[in-house]
Amino acid sequence: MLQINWPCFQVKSEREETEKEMTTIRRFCCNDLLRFTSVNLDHLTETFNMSFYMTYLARWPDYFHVAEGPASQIMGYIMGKVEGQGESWHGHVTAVTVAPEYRRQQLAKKLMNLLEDISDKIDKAYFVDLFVRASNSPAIKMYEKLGYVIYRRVLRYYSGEEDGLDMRKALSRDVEKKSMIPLKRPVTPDELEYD
Amino acid sequence: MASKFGLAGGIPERRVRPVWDAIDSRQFKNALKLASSLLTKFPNSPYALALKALVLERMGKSDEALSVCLNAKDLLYKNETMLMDDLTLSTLQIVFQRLDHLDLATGCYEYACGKFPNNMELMMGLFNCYVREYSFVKQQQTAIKMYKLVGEERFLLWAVCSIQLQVFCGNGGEKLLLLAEGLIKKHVASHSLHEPEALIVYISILEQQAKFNDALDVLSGKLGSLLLIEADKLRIQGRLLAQAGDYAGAANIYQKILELCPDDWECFLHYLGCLLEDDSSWNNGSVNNPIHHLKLVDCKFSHLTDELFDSRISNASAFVQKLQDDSNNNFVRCPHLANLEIERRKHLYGKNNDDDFVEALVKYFLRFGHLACFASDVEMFLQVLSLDRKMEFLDKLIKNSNSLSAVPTKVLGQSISLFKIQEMIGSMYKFPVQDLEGSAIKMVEMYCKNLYLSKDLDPQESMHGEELLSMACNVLVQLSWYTGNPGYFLEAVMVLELGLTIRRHVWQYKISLLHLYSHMGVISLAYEWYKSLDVKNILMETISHHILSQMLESPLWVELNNLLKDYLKFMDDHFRESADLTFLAYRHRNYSKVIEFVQFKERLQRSNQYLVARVEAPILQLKQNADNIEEEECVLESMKCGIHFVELSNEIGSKNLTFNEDLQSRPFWTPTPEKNYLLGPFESISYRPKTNMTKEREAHVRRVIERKSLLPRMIFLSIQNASASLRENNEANGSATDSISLELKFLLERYAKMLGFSLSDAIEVVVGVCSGVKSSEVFGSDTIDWLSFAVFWNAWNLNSHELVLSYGDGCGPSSWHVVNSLLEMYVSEKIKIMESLICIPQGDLPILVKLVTEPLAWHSLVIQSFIRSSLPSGKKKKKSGPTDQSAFLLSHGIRTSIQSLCGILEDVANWLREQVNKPEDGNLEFILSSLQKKEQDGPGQVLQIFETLISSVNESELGDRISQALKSWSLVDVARKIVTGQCTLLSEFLQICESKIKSLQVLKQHIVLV
Repeated sequence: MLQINWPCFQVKSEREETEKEMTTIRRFCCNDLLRFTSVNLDHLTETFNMSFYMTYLARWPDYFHVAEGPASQIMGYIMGKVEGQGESWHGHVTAVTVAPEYRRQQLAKKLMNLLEDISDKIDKAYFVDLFVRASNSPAIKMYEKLGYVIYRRVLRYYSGEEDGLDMRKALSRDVEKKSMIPLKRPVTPDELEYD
Repeated sequence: MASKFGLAGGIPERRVRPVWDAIDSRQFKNALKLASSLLTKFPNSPYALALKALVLERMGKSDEALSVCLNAKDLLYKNETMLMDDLTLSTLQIVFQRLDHLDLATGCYEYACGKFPNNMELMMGLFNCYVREYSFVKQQQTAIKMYKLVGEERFLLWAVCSIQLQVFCGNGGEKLLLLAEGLIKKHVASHSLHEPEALIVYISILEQQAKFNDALDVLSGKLGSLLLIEADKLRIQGRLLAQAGDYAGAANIYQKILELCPDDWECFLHYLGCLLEDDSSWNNGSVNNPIHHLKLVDCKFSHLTDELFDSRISNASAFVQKLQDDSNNNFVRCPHLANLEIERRKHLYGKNNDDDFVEALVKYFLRFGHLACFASDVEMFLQVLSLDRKMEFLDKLIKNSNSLSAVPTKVLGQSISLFKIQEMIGSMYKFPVQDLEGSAIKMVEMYCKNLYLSKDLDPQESMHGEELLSMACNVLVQLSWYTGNPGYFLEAVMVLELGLTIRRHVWQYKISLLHLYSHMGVISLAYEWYKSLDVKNILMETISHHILSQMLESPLWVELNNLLKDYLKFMDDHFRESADLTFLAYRHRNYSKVIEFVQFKERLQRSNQYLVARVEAPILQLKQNADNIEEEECVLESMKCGIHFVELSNEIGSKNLTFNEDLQSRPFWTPTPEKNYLLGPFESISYRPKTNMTKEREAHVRRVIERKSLLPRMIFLSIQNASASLRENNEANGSATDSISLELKFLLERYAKMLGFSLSDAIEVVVGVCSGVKSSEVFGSDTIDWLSFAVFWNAWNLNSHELVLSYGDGCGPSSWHVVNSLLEMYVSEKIKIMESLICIPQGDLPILVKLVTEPLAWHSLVIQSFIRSSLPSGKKKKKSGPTDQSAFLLSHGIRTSIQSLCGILEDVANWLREQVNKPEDGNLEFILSSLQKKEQDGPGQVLQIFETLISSVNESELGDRISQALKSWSLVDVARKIVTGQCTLLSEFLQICESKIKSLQVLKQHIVLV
């Protein structure tokens, strides 16, 4: 069961900072599944099964957002969740993707910042993490620019073949940024705490 | 309760665990052993039985599983002292659900809740059962009971959601919303609300009753603080104010949001709408809308006075200016696009502002023209300008683009945008041939010249200028259409194939190619490219349209079967699991998702494509098994002899269909699966007509489903009727035979009506065409349906006591004769005009395939049935058989029919063999010579640009990957691939024909024996 972790109150200036990044982005809804074809036909974007998307929508609707263009076409979207216990309570980016037409406009950054803000300010998580193929250097570079570091390598994470990198960015609650101190040795997929 | 004191369903947990472990690790045999031994120790434990049933079901032993489950249920009901635990019930529930017996699971929970009325866990289980059954009223009642018991907010909201579902997805009246409102109000008064989702539901209940001011009060009260994101709260507030008619207030709110989020385009549209007191933006968003629509093309604001309009517009302009000044970020497009929207509104209002409008467009180009989204950003604004103004805009762009940035990627981006605008406003459409050629050449030159920019890109990343090849391909297709020269068309194919050699992941090329190949009739290659798109899950609903309609007409049955099977499985799986996900949303208190999920499931259930696939899948099976009547009968039996499909045919007219296909990615010349402009003459229609074709498509789909879903039943009845015709004189089984004949006649009447005739008139048409009295043109585009009609009519005629016209009495042609000669006539006609292997557009192959695999196949089934019942069979005593005069005539008819069908099929097979065995060189030569540049102009020029590039590849400039790719390119290889692909297709068809010939020959031998 999802741990509900609503904050009791918020400082106003914090809130305003959150919204600056929200721009044209709104919650993802089921009908968007019918509209995201041009994003998902891109071979790097995985199209999951329905229960996967709908489980995210049913459990973490605040972590599933879509950016719409002026003619209401889908520019990109992000899906994620919040999970963990104690100091490993964290936001997780499951997928973030931008249609080719809208690349190189910092849209992924906007979407990532949104998820980080929700993890930070609403759910009071300690950090945000994500997995990326070790070979996907353009993406790794982008995440590094956004402040993520490679926390650890996960051996043969992708279909038992390619290694994955677990990248992390500490949030304000992790004052000393402990969550970001890289592990010295790689781990295997069964050592992972969460799926 | 379940594992209290370490008990699971009343059994010590340590004894149960091994069974669970075995199930989890999918060792079902072992699990079954363990479950059985558990049962010997606890023979009266419903839980032990439920576990065994679970294992049996997983092993595919559905019948056994059901009977074990029913035992468990009986035990539960009998054993009064036994604890009714949720673990047992939920285990039973899982098995019952997988066996499609939701009602039994619900029954168990209802019984348990009756026994232990205050048990929350059981009640939640019961609620879950009702969610699975979509019983909204019972959900509501159960939730209310739970709410009354424990007073928790979430159960109240469960009840409220159930009420909303009754109103939106059931047949509950809107008055129910008042009840929901009352429930929440009362709860708020005593307990307030604690979750943002609860507040959102509360507001939506008020909004749905048009109580906007009440909703505003709630939002601005204490509860409003539940919404932590200020902009979200403001958005709701703005919407409510606007709906309440307080436009000024709403505009203020939207202004605030824009100050927070200057890039929120939708918000800007609302802002402007409110300033101009135009509420049209609140009135769209129905679930049935096609999935893509340009937002807010319509707007109205007639009532504002000129002065008022001007002052409001100038307010908007000032505000937009401020937003622009505030944001120095080059990625924020909205405040700049806002200027265009303001000009558009002025234009629509009747202000003569075209100069300003064009100026604003040019400004936007100067700022964002290099972005790939520039053209789609401005598309809706261009729509309101006259052609002259559009051309003026284009001229200005061309002038301006000369003095542009020094960054090469930007220059390239701008040039691409220019081409796109040309394409969009249709100016290119009116170009003379030479200019069109010039454009294609320019595009490809630009692509080649800029390849170096992508030198260091990861092969997975899209390259700079990729769109140029798509555009060049469009121009080449247009040239081919314009001039009738297939060379351009082949050139378009080659350009895209080459593009995919350079980078194999460009889905836009793949989609264009699959349509080009389809148009040429090389469906096997089209399907290859479709497969490479890796279309799965929900994309099957939105993308399959690219290939489905072509595949339905092709002889590639294995591939078509996979396509249909995968798609139907995806949809049916979703329908099965959707309710569980809805319950998940309930459990996690995301109430707005509950309604969304149920509506989405309904939307998919009403999908036109889904209904078509549901009809086509069994028809494909019938086609595949038509050479063997026993197998065909098994297929028919598995579909309940087609009864449900007749029902579908009856209902389809009143069904509200949804169209979820993403048509945006289709080429300009085939905007929907039903349309192909290239088949018609080149006229001056606007280049890319963007009309909404849903109405047209809806009518078409209804017609297709209405007709096709009658087929299984008519085939079944025809088989029955043909065999009954021999028995009827000798057996007292008359009434059953009569009812078959009557039903067939009834369906024939319906079929005739769909073709636009009464039964007797339709028969007259068929006979008339056969005897040459009527022209075959009366069949129009419904030839296949007419021939199928003739086949079924003949089957009915065999056993009919009615003599509708003069045939059958010896004076006119027999119905056998009519069917034979119609089939002969049409097939030989098609073969005669069939051209060589490669032709653009493809010849009549799809019709020929249909003729052979539909009416001809159904006819052969009638013959098989007839012969089977006239043969002595092992067990049955031989019936007295056809000894009298009429039976003799019939058997004569049969012999002639078999002869005739064999002849037809031999003709087709011979033609196919001739094509398949032709030396490859001839076909290759055709392709290569049409691409060879012969004169100054004509096809071949574009490819020559590539050839020049390839012959002088500079590896250090283009990088290793691109250079290698270019060097690996071979025109001849692709030409050969096309020829081979076409042969594959014809060979498949040949196999179908040969199998039919073989089965008819066996029949012939039988008939000799009779």
